[in-house]
Amino acid sequence: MNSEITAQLYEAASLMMVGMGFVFAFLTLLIGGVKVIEQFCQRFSGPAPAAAAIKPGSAAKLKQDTMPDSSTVAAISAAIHLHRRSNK
Amino acid sequence: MEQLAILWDSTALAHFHYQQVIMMAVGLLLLYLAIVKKFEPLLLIPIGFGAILTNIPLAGFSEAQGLLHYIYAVGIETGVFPLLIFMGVGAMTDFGALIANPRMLLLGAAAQFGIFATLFGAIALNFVPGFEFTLKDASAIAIIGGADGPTAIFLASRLAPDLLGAIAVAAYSYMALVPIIQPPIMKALTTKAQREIKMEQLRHVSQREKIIFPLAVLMLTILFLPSATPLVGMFCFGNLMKECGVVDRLSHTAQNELINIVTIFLGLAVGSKLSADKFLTVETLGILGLGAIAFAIGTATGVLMAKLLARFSDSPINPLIGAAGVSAVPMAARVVNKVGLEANPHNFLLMHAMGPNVAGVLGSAVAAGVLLALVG
Repeated sequence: MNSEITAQLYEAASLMMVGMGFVFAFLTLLIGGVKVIEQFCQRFSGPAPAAAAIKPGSAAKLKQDTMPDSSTVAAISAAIHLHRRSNK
Repeated sequence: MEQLAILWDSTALAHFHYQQVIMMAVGLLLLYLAIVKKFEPLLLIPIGFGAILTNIPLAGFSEAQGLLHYIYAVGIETGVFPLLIFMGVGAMTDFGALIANPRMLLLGAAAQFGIFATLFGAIALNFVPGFEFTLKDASAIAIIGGADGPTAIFLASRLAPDLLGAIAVAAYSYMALVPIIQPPIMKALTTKAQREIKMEQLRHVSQREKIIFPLAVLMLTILFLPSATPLVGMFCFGNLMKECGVVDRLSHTAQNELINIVTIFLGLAVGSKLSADKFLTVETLGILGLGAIAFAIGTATGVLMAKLLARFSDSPINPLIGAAGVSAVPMAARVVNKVGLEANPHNFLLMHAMGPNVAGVLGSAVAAGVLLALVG
């Protein structure tokens, strides 16, 4: 019985070494992969298809959403003023 | 009189076994933890309720012809549900922080030591009378240390279906307990000065990089670890749908409606595995204990790896972020942020911790693939 467990333990230990080794090797390879992607995207940063088209657009929209123009601000503050007065 | 006896015989009261009552109490406990304590409610509610349903005498929810039996057979035995969830998780994951600082992948790798150390521990537990874990059982238990629910369920359904209930409950319970388990370990392994370290701001990552990244991950997995492609493939598919920006409808469905529907069925099916004969064993206690150890070791090795990395790095690295390597997205990253803020109220580590956090998801999927290839 005990010798059987010892054999299993040995197998588990080798699995630990191989497994950890593989996980590290794989993810290290992926680090290299990400670096290559970065280089590639820097070198060929021409008119990116969807990337360039969507990013600035959505960013601009976001800006508009968070910062309303002066006439909207004026309208809102007038409405608040009216609301407060009517609630008095 | 005879009719009265027949009537009595058709009530559940006459057929209740004390073990079923205990399992119903376990189901109620899970409901309590979910509703009152807010522990992973999205999963513990269906799991807890499934546990109650499956233990009803005479109803036969989990026997052939039973509802839960079918849900289990369709979704978990086949591995479909965990993979669909993984697709949704992929569609919710932003790899930006990881692409900006790819060295964080090493932290995600280091934290997977919890898995393999626990595998060793599970086999060592066989020296205690009453435990008889095979290498397959041990691998399925060890994956709890990956802190990733769908991965744990997927691997358990492949390697040790009998232990699935206990493994899933342990995995989700410990994920809910991350804010309690991790901080003491993180604080014990770092000094206050180290916890105060500020990290440089991450560079901007273009959408193009984010689109190529999942494809590159998939390509590497195809080449080196095909056994992990079910998990990694679905994950990358979900992520590509999110990042490519041309199928917003599909991406929205994957990360909302679809994942919600699957979560309901996945939870019920896992709950159906909480039957008395499978759960009320000494092995369950072993699984719960080993799961906690797996989490603790993963956290510790992640932090230690971050310290090692910091020693060789030009830019400063706060060792706390290593703890986020145990996936459990985004809970682990939030815990890192919180512990960092305790040391320095102006130091926000959340974005930096997201890198190792998503690296941990990849790491545990790779570890699961290794276990499937070598043990399965």
